Amino acid sequence: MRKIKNQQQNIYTEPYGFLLEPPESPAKKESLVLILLNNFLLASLAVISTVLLVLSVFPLSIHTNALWAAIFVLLIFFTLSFSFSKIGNILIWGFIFFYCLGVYLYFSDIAQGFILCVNQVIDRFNNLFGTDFLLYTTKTTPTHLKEQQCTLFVLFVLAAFICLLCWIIIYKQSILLSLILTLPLPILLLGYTPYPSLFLLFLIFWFLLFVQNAGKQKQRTKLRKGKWIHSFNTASSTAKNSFLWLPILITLIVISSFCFLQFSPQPPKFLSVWRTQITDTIQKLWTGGSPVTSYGSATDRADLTGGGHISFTGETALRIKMSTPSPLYLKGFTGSVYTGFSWEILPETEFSQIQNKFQENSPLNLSAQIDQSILARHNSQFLQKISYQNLLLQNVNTNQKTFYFPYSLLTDPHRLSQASTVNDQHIHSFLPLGNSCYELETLSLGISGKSRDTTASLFLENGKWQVENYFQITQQNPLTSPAQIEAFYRNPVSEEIRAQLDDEAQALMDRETAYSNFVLDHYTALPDNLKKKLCHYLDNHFSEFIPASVEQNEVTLDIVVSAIQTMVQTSGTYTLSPGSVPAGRDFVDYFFFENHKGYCVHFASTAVAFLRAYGIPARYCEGYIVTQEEIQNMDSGGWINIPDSKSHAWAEYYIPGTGWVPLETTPGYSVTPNGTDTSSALSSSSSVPESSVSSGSSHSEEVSSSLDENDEISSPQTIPDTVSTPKNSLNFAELIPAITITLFILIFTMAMLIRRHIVINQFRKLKYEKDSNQALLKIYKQLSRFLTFTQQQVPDFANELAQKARYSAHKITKLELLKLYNYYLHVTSCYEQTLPTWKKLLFRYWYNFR
Amino acid sequence: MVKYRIFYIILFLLLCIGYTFLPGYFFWVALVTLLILPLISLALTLLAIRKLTVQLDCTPKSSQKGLSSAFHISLIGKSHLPIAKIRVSLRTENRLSNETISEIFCFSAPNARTFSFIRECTPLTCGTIFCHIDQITLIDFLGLFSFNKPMKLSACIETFPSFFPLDLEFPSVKTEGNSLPFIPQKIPTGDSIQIRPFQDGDSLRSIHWKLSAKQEALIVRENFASQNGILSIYLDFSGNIQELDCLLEALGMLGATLSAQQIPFRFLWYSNTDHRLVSTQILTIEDLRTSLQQLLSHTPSVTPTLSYLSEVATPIVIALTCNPNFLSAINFSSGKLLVLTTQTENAIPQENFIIYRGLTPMHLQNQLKEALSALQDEIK
Repeated sequence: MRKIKNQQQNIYTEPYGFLLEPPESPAKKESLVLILLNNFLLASLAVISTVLLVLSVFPLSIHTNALWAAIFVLLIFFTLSFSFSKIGNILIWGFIFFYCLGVYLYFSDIAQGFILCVNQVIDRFNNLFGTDFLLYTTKTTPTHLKEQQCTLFVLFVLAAFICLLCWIIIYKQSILLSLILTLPLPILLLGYTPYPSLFLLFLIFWFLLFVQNAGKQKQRTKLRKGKWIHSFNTASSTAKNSFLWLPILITLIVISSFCFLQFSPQPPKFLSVWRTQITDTIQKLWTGGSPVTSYGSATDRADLTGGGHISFTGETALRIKMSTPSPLYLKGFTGSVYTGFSWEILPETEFSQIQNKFQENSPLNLSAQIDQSILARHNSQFLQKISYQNLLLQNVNTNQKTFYFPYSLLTDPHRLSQASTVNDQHIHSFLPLGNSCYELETLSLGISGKSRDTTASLFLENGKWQVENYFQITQQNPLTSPAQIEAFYRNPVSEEIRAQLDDEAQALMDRETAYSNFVLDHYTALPDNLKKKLCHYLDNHFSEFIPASVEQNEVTLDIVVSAIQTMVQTSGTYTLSPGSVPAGRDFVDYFFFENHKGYCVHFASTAVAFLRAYGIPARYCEGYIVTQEEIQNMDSGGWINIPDSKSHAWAEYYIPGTGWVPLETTPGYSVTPNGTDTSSALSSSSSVPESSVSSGSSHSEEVSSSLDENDEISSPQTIPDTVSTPKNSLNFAELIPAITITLFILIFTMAMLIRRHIVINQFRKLKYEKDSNQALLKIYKQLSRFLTFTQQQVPDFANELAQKARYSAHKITKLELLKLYNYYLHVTSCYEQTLPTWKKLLFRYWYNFR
Repeated sequence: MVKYRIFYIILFLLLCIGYTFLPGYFFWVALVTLLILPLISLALTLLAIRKLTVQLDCTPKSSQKGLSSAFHISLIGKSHLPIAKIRVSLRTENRLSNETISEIFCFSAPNARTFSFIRECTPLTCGTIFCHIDQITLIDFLGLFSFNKPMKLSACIETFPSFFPLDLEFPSVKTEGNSLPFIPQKIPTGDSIQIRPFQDGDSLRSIHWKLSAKQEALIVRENFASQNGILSIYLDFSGNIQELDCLLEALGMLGATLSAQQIPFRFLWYSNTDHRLVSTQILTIEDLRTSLQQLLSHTPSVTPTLSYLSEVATPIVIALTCNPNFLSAINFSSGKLLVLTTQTENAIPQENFIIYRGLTPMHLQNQLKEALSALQDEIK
């Protein structure tokens, strides 16, 4: 059926003057060897890459050589079976028979192999994901027997898998089914295999599959924009093309692997910003539009320009369950680079300088590792004093992508499920919508330098270990000049002590030394203008904040930190509406020297800036604080609900051997993390004479007044019961009717769609049916059904064609078949256009006329 | 094409999203590979289509109704590199029936070197069936890039009416002073010859070679004596294909009969394209074939051309038309007019008109015999 230019309306009219036959192409028959080789290549790629991937993630105790030999034989067998349709059926039925016979004969061995393999997989799974799934109990059997049983089981599983794969690739030639079968494994397991290059094998397989599919097309005829389009599948040389493409693909992948993967696969900076914005938006939508607090939920940067006014909803942001409830800081974001208007993370290229020292380990739990590994090993009494704290956290209304973790983290961040560390700063989830629940372990040993010194003194008294020499003790090292600071951080462990340690301890000490140097190099940077200004201020006013009793050469790290803490705390008034920073102004500069109003972000940023200006490595942190208030309101299940008003920003500074220590500089805030009372720091600030406050008494008054204000904030706003109940605890039973109705609608819609798909596809296939008489009668039946529905008469030509198809000895021609088919399409299309929308839907999806 | 491009864009977007939210080895390699792959495909396709030529041929070039001829379309390339698909835009037209079919053929072809296909065409009526290749599009393996090669290739199949002579003897009847209408013409004398430039459709035998050589342009000598001679056949070149086909068949039979009996006649028709009355002296079947070849490459006029019948000044004229109603408006008084028409309606005949209605392809032979007999009777 063709369209005639002069008769645009009657698309089913055929030309009178001539008759055109469908085109014929003398397609060359492809070499059988090439076809077989191509099928074998494709199947081999899929099977080998899958097996290698699975075995690399879950190493099973099997006879590898036997396994590969069997795979090779099975591949050849199934390639031959599915390539030749005639003998293929016999071979496949033969395989099924012998497979069943094999299962019957070796059932006990296969079952035992199943148990053994599952045990090995579960064991590996537990190691990978930190789960605690139970293993099957097995009787003791010799190793060689175990191997045999495992191999037998794996072989039987593989035989079924290869059979299925070959059927899909060779017989069905379905790209979709092939992807469904082969895509999930690399996506799930690639992160855990020690050989990520296995992915290249999968890539080659998928691209070959795609290339072969691209060359094929369905044989069909359709009318589009006044032109008939005839598609013919004349090419039979897909195998030849595959072999042509194979070296190209391998070269391409090798190039992309070796050239491009030399660079970091980390996305560029702007991509991170986009990601943050998008995830935040999704988060907002997900949480029903409830505002996410302005701080405490930063992911990749903390913007200092946007926060003109902060407000809290009082909703539970975070829930925590602790084995021993105690106040603590929960760090979510660490700002390392200060730009004047934001805190940024340290570029990865900078961190890569030290990454090789840590390899599989992370600096985030270095101090806890040292505590556990070195101190405990050398003193059994100390071991008894170490207490572990288990934390279970649940991100409710806060950033789901952030892992909030306390100081003295013992859990290796790399072992956390779906987590990735951002250099030495914080932990993020790499899932698009984050990970809402996670478990951490800490070492409760105290987090401040002071507490470490106390511990050290304790051991000194016991006389078993000269711990005071272990690290340079903060109380004994004056830090009055840059040279002294340099010496303090560059060589935290003396050579004498180092020589007494075993290899493992020495390795830890080396890491600590390297990290201490790294910290000094990277976490003391400030913009030049600000640094000059702050240094000038420190030169003139620092001494005012040092207690009079302290001599110049007795200014240790504690005293410096304490002085800066006081300096910052008394520098401004706490308010949640400090106003925005004028464009172009430095955030700290504006707050400290001009505005004197701010909230925790202002105080923390200023403290970090002053510490850095003094030469002490410091960073800016955001997260949540857990105070006694929240602990007292702990629910019966042991969960502590932390409202969004407890989101907080603070400074942290580095002490070699102790790690990062939080410094609270926001007026009125007091946290006693891990039982260590930081009020000592505050109390030390109170020892600073009134006269020493540089800004005069007015500042002190402001501070006192701000402290009153803070009572509302730090003392704990009463959180309504309804709010404190997390969203996740919605009664599931209440949702059952809604879920049932939704499911019913979904199933019904799916059934309608599937039914329509089947009916329409069957009707479309009639055009290509070999028995054109039967096909025409089916089209006629459908046409009659439609015309009865619309109360119209069947046209004469359709009746004639149907009679010819039914009674005549002549075969219906393709043209006649297409004539009726296109007439049906034409009339249904015309009728559909006259219908209102809801009737159109019925017409299409209920009656399936189109 | 569009499907593959959309698929590629979706895949690219998915990988971008994946790479944004799950940065790592998997998405990085996939994204880089996805970006490079089209470039390779593009390069391969560019190399593959280099020096690619297309041929269009037809065998046999002349056919009969119901017998098929074949158009051979071949792509001759120099490269073994793969091209995924080839799309050929083919236009088949029959000018006589004013029918044009535009089709696109999509073939999956391994490479250009081995690609060719045959399109069989069966003429159902008289006419010239032209086959044009307007464009050839070569599509790369990924379906992302296409390269159009504009073409102006055409081939044609000519289908003539069957030149089947009627079983009819034309009597040698003498009239007043004139030679008999069905007696062969003598060679024209120099007085009755007119010189004019060559036009399409003129017989090669009518070319005045000496004069053409002198004037460096083809000059034709036209025999006025024959133009104004005894018998002319005028074809009203308008109407639908079914009726025209029947009239052409009638013309073929008449021409064959007259040629077989060595009776020369003039064949006249009005060319709507050139806007002139084309007149050809027919002595043999070959003359008629040449003349029909010219006729069939023209598109029929939309309106009847019977008005030009008045310009034919022979004593006997046979007019073939499918619009007899227009006869009433014609001033034809020079002789006898036999009108053969496919129509069955009554037309108002003039005195010197003999109208034979209802010509049908099935009974054409008998109908023509009857009509000619009637003409003979009238002349007698």
